[in-house]
Amino acid sequence: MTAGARILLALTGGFGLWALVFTLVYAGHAAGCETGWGLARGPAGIAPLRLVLVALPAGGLALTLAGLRVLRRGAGLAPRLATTARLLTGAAALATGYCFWFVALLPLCSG
Amino acid sequence: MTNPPRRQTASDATQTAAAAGAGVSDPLGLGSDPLALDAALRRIWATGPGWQRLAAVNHSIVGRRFMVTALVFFAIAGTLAMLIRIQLATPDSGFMEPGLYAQVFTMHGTVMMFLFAIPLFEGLAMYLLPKMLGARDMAFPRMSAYGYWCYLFGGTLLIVAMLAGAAPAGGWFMYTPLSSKPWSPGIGADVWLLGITFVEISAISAAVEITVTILILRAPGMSLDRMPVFAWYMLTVAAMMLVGFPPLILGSLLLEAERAFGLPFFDPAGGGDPLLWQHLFWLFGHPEVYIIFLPAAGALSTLIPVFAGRPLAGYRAVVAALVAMAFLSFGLWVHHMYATGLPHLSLALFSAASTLVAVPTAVQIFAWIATLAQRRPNPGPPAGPRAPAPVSAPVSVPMLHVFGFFFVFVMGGLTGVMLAIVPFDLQAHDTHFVVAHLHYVLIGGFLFPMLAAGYHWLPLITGRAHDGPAARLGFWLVFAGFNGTFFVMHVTGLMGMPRRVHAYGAESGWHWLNLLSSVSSFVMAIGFAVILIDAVMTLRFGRKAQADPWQAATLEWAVPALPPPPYTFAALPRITSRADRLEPRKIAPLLARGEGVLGLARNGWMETVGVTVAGGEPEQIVILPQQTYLPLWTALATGAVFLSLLFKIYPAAILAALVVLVLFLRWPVGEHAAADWGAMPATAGGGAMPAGEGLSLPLSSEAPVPPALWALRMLAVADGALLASLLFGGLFLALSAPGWPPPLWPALPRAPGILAALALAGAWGAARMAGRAAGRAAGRAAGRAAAPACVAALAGNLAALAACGWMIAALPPLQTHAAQAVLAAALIWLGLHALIGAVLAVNALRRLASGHVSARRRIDLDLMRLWQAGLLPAGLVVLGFPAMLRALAEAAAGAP
Amino acid sequence: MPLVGCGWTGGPLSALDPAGPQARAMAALWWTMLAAAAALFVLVMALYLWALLRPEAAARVPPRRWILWGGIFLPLPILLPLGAAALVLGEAVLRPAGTEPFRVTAEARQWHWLFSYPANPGAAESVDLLHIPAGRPVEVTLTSADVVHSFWIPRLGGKIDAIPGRETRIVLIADAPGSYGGQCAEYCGTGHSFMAFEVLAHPQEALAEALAPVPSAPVPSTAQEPAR
Repeated sequence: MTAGARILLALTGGFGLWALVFTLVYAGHAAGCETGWGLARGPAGIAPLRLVLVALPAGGLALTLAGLRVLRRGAGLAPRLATTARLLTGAAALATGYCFWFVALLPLCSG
Repeated sequence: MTNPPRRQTASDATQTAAAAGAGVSDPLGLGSDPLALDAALRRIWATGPGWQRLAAVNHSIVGRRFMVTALVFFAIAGTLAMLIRIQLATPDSGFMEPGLYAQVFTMHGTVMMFLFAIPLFEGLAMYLLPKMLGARDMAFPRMSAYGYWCYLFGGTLLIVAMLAGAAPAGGWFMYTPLSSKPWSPGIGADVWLLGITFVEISAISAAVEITVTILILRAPGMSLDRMPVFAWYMLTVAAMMLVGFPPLILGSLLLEAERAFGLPFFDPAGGGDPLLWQHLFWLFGHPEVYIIFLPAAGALSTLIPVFAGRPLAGYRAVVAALVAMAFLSFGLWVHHMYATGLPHLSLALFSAASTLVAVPTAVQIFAWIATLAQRRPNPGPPAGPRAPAPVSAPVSVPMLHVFGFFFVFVMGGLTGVMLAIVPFDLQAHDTHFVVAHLHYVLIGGFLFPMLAAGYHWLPLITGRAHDGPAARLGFWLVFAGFNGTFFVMHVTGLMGMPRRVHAYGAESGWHWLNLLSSVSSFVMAIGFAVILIDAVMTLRFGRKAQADPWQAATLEWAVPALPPPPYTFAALPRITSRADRLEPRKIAPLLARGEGVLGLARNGWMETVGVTVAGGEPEQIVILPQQTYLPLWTALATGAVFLSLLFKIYPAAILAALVVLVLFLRWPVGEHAAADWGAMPATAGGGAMPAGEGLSLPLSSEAPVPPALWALRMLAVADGALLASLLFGGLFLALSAPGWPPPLWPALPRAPGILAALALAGAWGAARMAGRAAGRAAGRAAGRAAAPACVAALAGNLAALAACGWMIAALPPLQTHAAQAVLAAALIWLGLHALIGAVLAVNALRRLASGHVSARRRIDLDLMRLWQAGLLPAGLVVLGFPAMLRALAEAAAGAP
Repeated sequence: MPLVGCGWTGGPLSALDPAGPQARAMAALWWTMLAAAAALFVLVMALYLWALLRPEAAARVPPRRWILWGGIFLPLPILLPLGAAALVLGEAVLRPAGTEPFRVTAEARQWHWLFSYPANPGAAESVDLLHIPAGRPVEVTLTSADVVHSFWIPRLGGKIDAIPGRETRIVLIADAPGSYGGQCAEYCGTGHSFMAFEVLAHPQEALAEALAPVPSAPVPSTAQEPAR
């Protein structure tokens, strides 16, 4: 990987994941509601669509935190960029929690 | 050092060749004589007088033109705003009839957003970036000029249409179906869709150019983490433009296709959906707000530290905040659509992201406050260029506008958080509360910072020092008038006044609030007039500015004179520390003497240094193009395309598009690229030209990654965003539009699909082979070696194009259902890209024949290879799209 | 709740003069947010002016602390509870609990509202006039015959768009019998300003009488000029 690509990944990886999760949750939720997939209560009384909507941010958060660990160990960046990358990845982890905690709680479909 | 072997191709080559390899760093013996160096560089860089001004490509000139033109459009849109306030000053006003009023408010919003705000910051960025980064110009000066002409012509088209009474009248967000043919039968909506798309070309080209300039045209040693923070802001903004503008371009094209040819993308009777327009528009429209705010914030992050005499506090946190903002801003668009009946869970996602964006905003605000708090206790000379520094005034004129920014923007941000809250927004949405909020955010977050920036950089841009109580008077009038106009609108809106009403009854209780707004708006207008008159007087009669009047710490003040000469720097500095902690006063004289990199004038070349992205190590010598009329002609031809489309003369549009293509094919000619300048014996370090200070660098035509390749990478980002928007749009329709699945599913023949896939794969393979063959060949042999592969790539692309045509022809009539219309749109995208691939192959063949390609000079082949490498996966996605669309539509149809 | 419904913030379309539980909740949300926003605005401006005018004192706060406290610790503890409250309130507003709603359909067209009462056979359609029972949830189902409109009765609650090709729904409640103003909120062409309607909330027992067919009020065509 070139130095430029490494910087790009370090700076935008965290929020890139956030954006991916955001898109997938939004589109997955809309698709689930429109196609009627996963709405019926499954085992343990939880709708499969709900499980997917919770799993996506959880997975995103786990990956973001893993990325943060890699950055903590130093990823071969200039010191100031390394700090910026850590701040951004930490912020992305926070944002993932902030933006998706309620997918576990709100009613799934119907407006 | 030996002279590089060269072919005499240009008329001036003989004369300049002698100088080329002669001296190491001082070929003309000018190095220590600043006057002689200045004269030599001016001869190369200056734009000619008279009509030759139309050939200008210099970033200082084009940047200034952008800014001045934007201010003219600001005056026009401001006048429209005054008309709106006259209309609303009293109940039951008969000043304008509703149709005219609709044109006025539509044009006010459209001109302010597209023709004022975006071009103004583009112009400022274009003007400042090379100077701040320590480069001599932008990476693609002809693109700057082309973008400017597109902007000027597109904007003029809109204004002329308005004067002719044919302005768009559907509001600046042009909701369908109000903007569709049955409800907007006139030409007005077409003017908007085509005019704005024309202007967007300029925005995309500016975005490409800004990214590439920041990434590689920096002073040697300026690594990414040493960049002035303004460059980080503009890099982020340009990246956002690359992703954010394509959805609007796509939406405009689809809506124009619906209006002109009846393709029902947004018509629910044909499987379209008005909500698709809203999604596409706001997917652009919300990031757009941040695209406008961030350059202004970048200006603040630059000038507040100058005032404080300290570097920006929390540089790293600020960079993190603005990158975070860039991402978050793409997760807000549905907060314009809370009332469209989406499930609460969807709304909540966007509500959360909308409130969260307050955090990076607050980080920046408090970084600025922290910077002010660290202010040097004894300001001394930084009091500014005023002759008798008014000791009593605690702040300079720019800082007065920074105060305006804080006051207004913080309030707008707070109402923004309120509007992000779903239950409150359902009341406030589409009322004057939103009008108040958006003006607080845009005037606070853009206009006041830009005025501050204007006063701050006025000495640089005009060479005039600014004095004046008039500027302070102007500020206070604008500030008081603004708050008087818009603060009361919060109340008017909550009392139920919807947006865009042309009249209201006296019983509503809104009349005195509106009167107050209208009177205040005239105070604000007078304030702008005072500022304008004061600025004109300064230009005419102002004293000459002294060098570095603010004791700033960034490179733009290290230019040899104010205003800067066309070559910007006589030599480029070596940066060894943070580039926002420099001392321009000490650097400027050294650079003016040519003490630095490329402190020389040779061959009539406009040279600047290209560096590695991360470390800022010098990597290549970029030779920029001379002034030329090509951008003007190309923009005129582009304008002819749009005018023909507007008046529905489609053969003329195709003809004009061909002219555009032919003109663009004339762009790459650069005589320096007709020879291997750096093909020296390997023992001499191989492949380099002397660049001064003991550096030897290859010319960009011989560098592994020249700027043009970077430009194509950036364009690919925008292009990918366009395709993604189109595919998203199709899937959205299949999932949730009424009338799906279509009564007759558009079946595509399998043969052309397989043919297209194979042809694209073949073209990709051929393009790779062309590069390898040229790399192995020596000298002119490259042409013969790579030509067969180029012909193969050409054939592959033409086959793919034909296959796309075959598939489109096999579709049922496109007017009958959005399913085939969307498939046709995707296939047209693919066909057009195959066509461009073919053009790139023809270009490569042409350049092979003319000797512009060798083992070292492979840019034309590399562009072709990169294009095909991107087109292959994109093409496979497009070819798989019909199946995806059908699967989704049938799943949605099977739902209970 | 300060000022609600009294004095100068009144008016036939005022969201600050609520007449139903949803509009009341929204108005209360507004007044709460206004108080918090005013406090925040004063705080930020005071800090800014302090740093600007008294830098020697403000400089004792290190930059790191400014950014951390101002940028993170100040907004987040406000935004998190606000967001949570908004979700609870949003659920209450969008899906009010209670008795079976009274159902109405509304068709928006340039520039009139056509209301019909499918659940009340024999009830006459009404133009620009909506009859509802007071004290009971009313579910309005919206369609549009031409362009996007937005249905809004500010004193009862929020908006819902009427979008061609779609059906949208809103549930509203009026506390008491009376007349409430309604207005199209989304720009829908030259007649937008006067695309208003009146809501008459009747006591439950008087509703049937109000819905009895009256031989008048023909359905206007789209070509008709706005009513004024």
